[in-house]
Amino acid sequence: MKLTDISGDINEWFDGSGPMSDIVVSSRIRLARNLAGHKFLSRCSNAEKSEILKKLKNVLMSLDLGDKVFYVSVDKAPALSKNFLVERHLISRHHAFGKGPRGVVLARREFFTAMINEEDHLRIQVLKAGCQLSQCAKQINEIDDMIEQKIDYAFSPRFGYLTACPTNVGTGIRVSVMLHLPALKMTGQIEKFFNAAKDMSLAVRGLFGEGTEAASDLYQLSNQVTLGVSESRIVSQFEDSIIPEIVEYENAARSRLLTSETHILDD
Amino acid sequence: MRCQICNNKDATIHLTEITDGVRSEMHICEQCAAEQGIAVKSHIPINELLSSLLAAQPGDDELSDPDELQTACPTCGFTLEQFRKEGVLGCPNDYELFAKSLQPLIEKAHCGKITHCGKLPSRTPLDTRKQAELLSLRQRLDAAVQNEDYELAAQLRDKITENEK
Repeated sequence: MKLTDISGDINEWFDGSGPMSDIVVSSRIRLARNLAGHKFLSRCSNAEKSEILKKLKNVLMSLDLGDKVFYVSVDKAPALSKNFLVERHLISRHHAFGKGPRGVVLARREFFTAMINEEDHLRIQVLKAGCQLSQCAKQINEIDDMIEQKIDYAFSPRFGYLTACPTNVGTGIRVSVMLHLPALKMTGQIEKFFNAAKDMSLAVRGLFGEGTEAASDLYQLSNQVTLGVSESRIVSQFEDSIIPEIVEYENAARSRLLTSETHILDD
Repeated sequence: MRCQICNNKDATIHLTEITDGVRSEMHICEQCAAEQGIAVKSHIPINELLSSLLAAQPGDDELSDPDELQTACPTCGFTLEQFRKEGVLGCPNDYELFAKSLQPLIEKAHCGKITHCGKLPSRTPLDTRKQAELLSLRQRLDAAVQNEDYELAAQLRDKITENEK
């Protein structure tokens, strides 16, 4: 199985299906994990990084995900393949152009990827089309449990899952939704959305994550707090209050554009 | 306010320059700023944000104590001074070793929360002491390889394998 086998397909999570898909383009949950008994990557020699890579690759390739799974050695991949993986949201830019032995395990239908040796030893993510955070949470939890049966994660009862950066410690969870908010942008209300997100300790990023532009009015909204609040609570906050509210505002702005503010849409 | 250069777009960048005690102000748009070679940081890199958070802990005398900053983790050799620069920790043991100094930062990053209340590993995780022991063995293994003491390295590798069972 090679990258060229998937390059002609449309990612399953980007096919415009799923609940609320006119506004919520996709849902994503990722978990950051590190192996017990190993240093974090900034202090690892290449030999230790290779050891971690080998261990995790073996575990991940043996998982039963109900789909074909294949591995790409990111450090050896040509720039074209790296850019392809970044553009498909399968790995981060940091992972693509980082240093040392590293790789990614992918499901053929692209709903699951696992970056090995990114900022943490392991970052697994599940992606789905539309607003499907509960389904993402259920699936990633099952995959995490399967991995945990075979290896020991660095964990402390006090701080939870230990991550290289303390901003991810605890659950190590990053819940994000990709939102298409053209009407809020056109009616000049997008700043209100940014401020509301900031008040709720949520991060708003561009299409390709941290430090990227919000091209085509697509924004990624994600949680920042990962400690002292459970995974299910974070997911339910998104599903029960944050997303419905944003969808309501965007729909109201779209209605206004079509009724009282049609001049904005005129050429 | 209009950009003082193109007089067309809104000025979103406001520069204040003080030369020989004379203050001058300039209000320009992002495009003109780029043309003038003025870099605008729209996003603060996470490590800079962490460094500023860590550096701005008022009244935390212990953190500003140079000795504390220089204390090296026995298992990975990491110091808080390095954390200030890099924004990431050296090994899982650092959370316990630097717990006191890290607490204000963790509190700020997680809206006042300092204790995990989410998922627990489905089976008993390695205890902290065993994790630290493994880290220490790997540290010694790295040193042995560097010193080309392959006999010791082989012994340490066996111990690591034994410990991981």
